[in-house]
Amino acid sequence: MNWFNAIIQGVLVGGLYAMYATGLSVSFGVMRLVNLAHGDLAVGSAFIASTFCLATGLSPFLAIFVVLPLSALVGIGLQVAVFNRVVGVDPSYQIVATFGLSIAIQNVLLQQYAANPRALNIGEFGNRSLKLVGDDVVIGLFPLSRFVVAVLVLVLLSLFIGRTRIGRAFRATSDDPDIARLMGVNIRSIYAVAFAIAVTTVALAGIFNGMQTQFSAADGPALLIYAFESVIIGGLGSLWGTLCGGIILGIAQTIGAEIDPGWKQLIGHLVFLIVLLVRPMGIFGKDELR
Amino acid sequence: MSLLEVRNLSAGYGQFQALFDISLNLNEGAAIAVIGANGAGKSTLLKSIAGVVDVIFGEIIFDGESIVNLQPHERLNRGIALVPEGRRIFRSLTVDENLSIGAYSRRQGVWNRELVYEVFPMLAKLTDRRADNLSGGEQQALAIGRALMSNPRLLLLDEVSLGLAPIVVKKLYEILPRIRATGCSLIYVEQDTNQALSASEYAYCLLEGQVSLEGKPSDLSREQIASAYFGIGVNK
Amino acid sequence: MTSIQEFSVSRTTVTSRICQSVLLICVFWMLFIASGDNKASQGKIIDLCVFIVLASMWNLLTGFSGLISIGQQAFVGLGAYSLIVLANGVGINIYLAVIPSAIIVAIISIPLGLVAFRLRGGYFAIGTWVIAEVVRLIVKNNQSSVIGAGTGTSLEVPESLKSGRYQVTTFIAIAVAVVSVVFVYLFLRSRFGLALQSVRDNETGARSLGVDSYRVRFVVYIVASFFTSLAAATYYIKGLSVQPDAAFNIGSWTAPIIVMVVIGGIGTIEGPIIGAVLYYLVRDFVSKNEFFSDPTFLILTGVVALIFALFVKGGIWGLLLKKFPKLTIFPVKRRLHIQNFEFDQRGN
Repeated sequence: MNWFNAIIQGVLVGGLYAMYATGLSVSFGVMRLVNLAHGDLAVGSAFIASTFCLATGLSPFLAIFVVLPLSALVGIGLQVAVFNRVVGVDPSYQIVATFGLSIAIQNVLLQQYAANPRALNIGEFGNRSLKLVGDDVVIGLFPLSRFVVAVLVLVLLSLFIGRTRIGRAFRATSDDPDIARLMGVNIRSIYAVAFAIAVTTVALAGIFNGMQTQFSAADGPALLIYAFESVIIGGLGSLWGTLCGGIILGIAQTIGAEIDPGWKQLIGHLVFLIVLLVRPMGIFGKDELR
Repeated sequence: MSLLEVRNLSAGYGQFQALFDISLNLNEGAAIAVIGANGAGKSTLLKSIAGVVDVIFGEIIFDGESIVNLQPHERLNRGIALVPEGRRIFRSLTVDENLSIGAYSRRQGVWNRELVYEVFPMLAKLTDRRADNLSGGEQQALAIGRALMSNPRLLLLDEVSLGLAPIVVKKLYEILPRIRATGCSLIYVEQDTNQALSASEYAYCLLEGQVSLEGKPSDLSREQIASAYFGIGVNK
Repeated sequence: MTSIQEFSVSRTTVTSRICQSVLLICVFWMLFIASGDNKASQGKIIDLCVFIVLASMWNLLTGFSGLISIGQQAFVGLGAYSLIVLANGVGINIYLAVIPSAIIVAIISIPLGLVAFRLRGGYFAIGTWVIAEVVRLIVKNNQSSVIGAGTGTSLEVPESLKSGRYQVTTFIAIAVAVVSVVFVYLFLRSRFGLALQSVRDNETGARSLGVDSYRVRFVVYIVASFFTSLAAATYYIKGLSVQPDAAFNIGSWTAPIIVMVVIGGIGTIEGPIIGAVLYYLVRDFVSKNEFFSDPTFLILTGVVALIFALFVKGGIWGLLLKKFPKLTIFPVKRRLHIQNFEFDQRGN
């Protein structure tokens, strides 16, 4: 058993979880929307990337540049057609609507691609690794670069939200949408941008996941749960908290898997429940959940 | 010249009608007061001018044009800014950022960050403070400053004195003439009549969604105001 | 000024009595089939009754208490495994074990609720799901011979009980469904029900009037888990074999439940019943039709749930009410009769 290695691998996976979680955090933060189809959008993007690669023979890394703009459009479309109608209404309709969407997406994928798992082949790059501490710790080059990209995405996003005019409007809308409207903020377009960001980041996470492990049509719900746990562990409304939440979840899972492969998810969930009991506002959260 | 003219306005929320046949006039550069008891429809009147309440019937003419069918942000672009009841500043934004959102419409004019800080010196040393850490008076100053950043021609002030200490209210009202000096017209809505009446040239009193009294504050007696305010002792 | 000479307050109306009679006839018809020998029909009645209970309970949580749960499969699975433990492990008669197993689940639901209630709204929803996953994984990793880990196990039916199992189970299912629906009705008519709806409509307001919103909701959560596991135990006396991945599956339990309630009408007593019946009729029709593969049916369910949540918020019962405002099977509202006039609580 190699604890240090488990922790390192956990941190690297945590970066991926944070990327899943970012979109959930943004859409809840800006429009108080909980999208149960979040994970299915990630899986769907990975399938589209896979189809693109099979059809053109190009590398999955190039597929990213095709799929991401597409997912931004999908995000705007979904916001305009579906989610604008459930923002601000009784949350039970929100949950039912996004749950219905989730079931529909999962089964469209199942029908289209059957139940067989797929993977995105990144070739030689996926096998390269760095060895540390006398070969005891092996860091895959791909997981490392994926972690770096995840952090980069979070840095860009927090600069966008913290420093730009639209980012300020994001936060103002989150605080008080009615007054933001009075100040001339077009909240519909703010919502569309927020949702485009949510779908784009989760699509990138889905593709990155597919480059390392197999994925299948039914994976979405598990990804949603990982994203959700990362957000709550880190604390709502804090992107860096989300990164830490993802890392904590990742470490808990890899340590659980070291003890017994069947415990990987269970230990992750238990850590989440403990945080919820001990510190319901999350580790970096300032406010109680409302 | 008339800047704002409200003609026979009826308005409300969904099934509930709050205003009945209200008419009001405001000249460019003037300040008027709208007084009345809790629930008389004062806030609804300001909100329907700002565009966040459904107008059932009637006209609102701003600068010679009807604005009834315009969205709130389009009215803001023409120069109508609301300081909402309860201040409603953006709590998780800093003071500086709140002012930036106020300038979101990019309307040009004399007002900018520096002038707001000069007029409200209490805000100048708090620029990077999160707005939910401000005192009530500072929050109210910020709410007014935020509205001024859109360079309004008409500033709608909803219950500025609500929940503030008298000394703070006095301080805020002392600043208002400086705002008028930039050519901005004002409508005050207050439950506390004295402040509002002393700061305006003309006053309307609302009772149950209708104008129960209007006139120059100097022409109105205490008794007249009391009866129009509470709806008692009026001979019809 | 008109003087009111005669007035009376009542809940029942002529239409409500007619609708209740129709419902009663349906129950008798089901009892008639239960006493017969047609196992296929009996199986369908059991499934329908089980889902009427599950849907009514989800509706009690979400529609009446604002507790949006997508983790009802936790209580289905727990109900199934409590039954297994009591029957196979302890050796209690399978029929007599149904109620005790539901009581056990109700007790387990208390600590689960303490965790879930840390979250609100949409996040409460995902939280209930995580809890269901945790319970599934714990069961799946339990290597004891009674539980049977990931491969699951089967309810052992003694020789003496083998004949007539379908008949008895059908009777139990009908009884559980009737009791659940009547319970929901009486519960909502009670003082407790009024508190519940005031909390849902305006939590702060209800609190300021002295309603302990946390306690009211917690009780509902426990009650819902009791009835949900009661129905689940009944279901597994028919189905016999239990696997963790199936018993704790969100897709086979909570998904149809939500679809049923949203089609029938969230927040009404009648909605879940209508939704469950409709769902079964459509699924029966679809299973005979080759065009509808399993995924196609599920895509349609998802889309229908989405469309109802966006555009038909009151469900089918809501649409009917718009056409026939006096329609009601379970009158909760009080009506005031003054001479020839009639007012309901909304003042219409």
